[in-house]
Amino acid sequence: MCTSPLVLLQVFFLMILEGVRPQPSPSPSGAVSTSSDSGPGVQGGTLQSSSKGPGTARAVPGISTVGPNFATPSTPENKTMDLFPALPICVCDLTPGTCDINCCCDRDCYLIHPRTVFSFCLPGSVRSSSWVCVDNSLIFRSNSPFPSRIFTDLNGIRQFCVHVNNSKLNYFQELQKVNASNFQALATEFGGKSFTPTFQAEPPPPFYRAGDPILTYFSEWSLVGLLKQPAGLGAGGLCTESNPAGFLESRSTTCARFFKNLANSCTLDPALDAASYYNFTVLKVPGGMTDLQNMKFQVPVTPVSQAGSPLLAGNTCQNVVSQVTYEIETNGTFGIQKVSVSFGLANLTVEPGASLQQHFIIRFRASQSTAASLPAPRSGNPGYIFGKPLLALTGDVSHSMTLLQSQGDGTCSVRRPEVQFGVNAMSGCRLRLKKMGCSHLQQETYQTLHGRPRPEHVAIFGNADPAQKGEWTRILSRNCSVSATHCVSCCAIPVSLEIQVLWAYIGLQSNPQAHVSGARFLYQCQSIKDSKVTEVALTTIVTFVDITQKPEPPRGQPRIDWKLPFDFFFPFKVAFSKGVHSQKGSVSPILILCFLLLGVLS
Amino acid sequence: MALYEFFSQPVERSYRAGLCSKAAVFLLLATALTYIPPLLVAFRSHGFWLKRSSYEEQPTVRFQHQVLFLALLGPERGGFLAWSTFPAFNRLQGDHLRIPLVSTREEDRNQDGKMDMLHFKLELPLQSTEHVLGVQLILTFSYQLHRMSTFVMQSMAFLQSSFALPGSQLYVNGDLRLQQKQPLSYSGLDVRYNVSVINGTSPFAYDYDLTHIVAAYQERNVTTVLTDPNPVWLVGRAAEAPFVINAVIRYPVEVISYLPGFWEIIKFAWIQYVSILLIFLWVFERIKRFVFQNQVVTTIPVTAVPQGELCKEHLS
Repeated sequence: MCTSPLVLLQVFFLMILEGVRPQPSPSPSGAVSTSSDSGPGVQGGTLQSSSKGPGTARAVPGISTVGPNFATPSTPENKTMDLFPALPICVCDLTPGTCDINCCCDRDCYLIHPRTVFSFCLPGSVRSSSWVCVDNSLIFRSNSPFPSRIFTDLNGIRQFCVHVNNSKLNYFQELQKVNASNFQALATEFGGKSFTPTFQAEPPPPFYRAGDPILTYFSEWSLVGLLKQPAGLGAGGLCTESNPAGFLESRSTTCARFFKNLANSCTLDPALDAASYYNFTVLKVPGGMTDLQNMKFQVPVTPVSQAGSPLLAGNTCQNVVSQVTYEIETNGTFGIQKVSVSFGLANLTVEPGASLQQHFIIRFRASQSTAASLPAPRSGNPGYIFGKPLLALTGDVSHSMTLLQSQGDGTCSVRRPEVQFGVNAMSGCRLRLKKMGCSHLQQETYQTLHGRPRPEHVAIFGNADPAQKGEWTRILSRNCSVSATHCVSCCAIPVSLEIQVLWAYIGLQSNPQAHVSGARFLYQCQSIKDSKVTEVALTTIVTFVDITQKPEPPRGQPRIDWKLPFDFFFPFKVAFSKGVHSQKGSVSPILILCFLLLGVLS
Repeated sequence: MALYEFFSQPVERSYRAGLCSKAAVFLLLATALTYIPPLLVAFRSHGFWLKRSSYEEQPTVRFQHQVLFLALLGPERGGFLAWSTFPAFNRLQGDHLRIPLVSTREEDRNQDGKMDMLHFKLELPLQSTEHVLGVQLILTFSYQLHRMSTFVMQSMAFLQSSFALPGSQLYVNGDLRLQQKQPLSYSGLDVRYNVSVINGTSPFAYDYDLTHIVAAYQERNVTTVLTDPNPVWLVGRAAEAPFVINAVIRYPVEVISYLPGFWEIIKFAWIQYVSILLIFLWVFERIKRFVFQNQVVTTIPVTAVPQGELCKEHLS
């Protein structure tokens, strides 16, 4: 009774001792003593291909597992056993007819004991085998069925070694027979991805599906091609001609062209010639490829307006295509019904390094739609989508709100970017003032700031109808108050416009819709002497303010309210939130908690 | 009839000895060996005092709508265009001022009230003879952490990129990461760095010098840095097209290291100490029981009289 604690104690301390001792210690405190630190002949350490080194050996005390790399193999018995028998495969015999250095299995060396000449044997040139050794003085008689030997290592300690049978070392797997029947099966079973392209030709589908390339036919050369929508590619942003247009995918692309010699390419480059964009027919359905002569399957591309071919006149290249717009009417699976194309033309100055930016727009619409012209796209239905243009109304005309922009020389540009919903923006430009009266000057600057026509209303939702006045809200606008100044010839002109838009989410919290609650134009003026100043800097700032007040969710369903701070119940919270769907998951933490409580109480 | 044990109760036995006896010395020694070595073991195995800890938090970041932009033009030397949201800086630029179109949007992807990313686009109108070879851009942010100490900072994202060929667009998609040279405090309000990165009210050119701005910023112990390993330069700008900077800057969840407070340090030390002490208590309990039961030190064993009987005696 009283001794058992002591025994336990001893065991406990032993455990501690064992635990504290570094793990890879090669000489455990066992009674069997050996010099296994170095192993018999680690000096020839390159031969350890077959064995575990002593550093990694967590062996039985006193027994070290090492390779057959012995420094001085002494054989007290008279058995003249060949320690290094010639191997059937000699991997290091690389020069035929010549002795390879350190290759112990090379028959060209004619060495009976290669180790006497070579400093070491290359890995693989000796038969790999593993020996397990103990100090010789411990062994009186060996009854082991395995071959055993006594070696003397460099320190002069005699070691008794047993050759263990290691099946892992001399193990080969038989290869499978490969013939024509199972070649593909083996390749797919063991093979992964390779450079083999997975491309296969398919027969043309009966009708176009969204995203399919549109087929064209050049009757002049009897060639089938694809309807192209050149797009910028790569770091250069240069036009790639062969970018196909996708069926029903209305999109616009922009790319740049550079000309080494515009005088030549002006008339020769087909990309600049409007005719090259409609001198073909479009196949109504891809099935038309089977019968290319049948005009039933072919839809001609009709230019909306006549566009002449490029013309080199003096130092300018006229009638260069800068914008191509395809309008394609489709009718479901019946394919393309009508294709029309319109062009934007530009004139280019012939100079070295001339460049041109081209826009390509492809628009699809269903032929059933009654509207003759495309209506302006919505900015959301109903709620605004971020990044879509902010809709404004002037009179009965709906348009998108714009802001000014400067062009290359810093002056105000005619092109005005759209104000996008939710996107704060800031821009500015310089306006050259012409000599005119103060009221004209004011009118011009106001127009430059707010655009033409002047927005009067702003759409509450992205799908506002111009006919429904209730869907629009008036823009609060205040021209700057002309304060009575002592300066007589002064003129107060606006220099900055801040467009402030308050918006909020409305509707279901799960699917909130953004709507504009109100908009305000704020002008700031500066009084100038109209005779002195020739240029003013105008700026426009767009600010969107989210005024959504998120309500507390209504008390419909009871939910667990964790009020304690600092994640006090964090593990249980996680377990509960996971166990909402599977009730089983939430049981285990409760059980654990119960057991813990029980343990503490008892 | 078989009997079962339904309840058991240990009987206390006390061992009595004088104050200067061997037993007292042994008990003193055993107590000392029980309570002091665990402390030494816990302390010498390192990590006894928790010196630094960390927590995760998504910072509250807002773009402050302050921009400083420089475009380096080539191939002629010295050509550049500049613009900022600071009027004083713009006044200093003279002819080099070119007002771009800047549009920004901050997005709260998961509707948790904290912004997750900033979409920034800058379109710089250029003449056909102007070619942008490099850009330098500073955006400023207000950066706040709330979970442990309330840390408020005004920080910046500095973007510098250049390429051998004239560019048409620079696309950046990176994270605004927090860089700490020292841990934050565990509580309190930290407004050390709630100062503007660029002194926008100053009329002097020195205050808008990039080297000065960057040097002053790097003096801080806590900064933010824009990490984008691969800004993409697109070259090949048509004559009339603007130079565009398109940036997406994300505000990721950060692991913030902080100095733990007093009670947190004590708590972790206590856990370590007690867990080692339990083993020592058990071991020395056994040793003491062995010593006293076998009379290794001389004591007088006394079996304690049950409480109930004592009470009865007093009552009678």
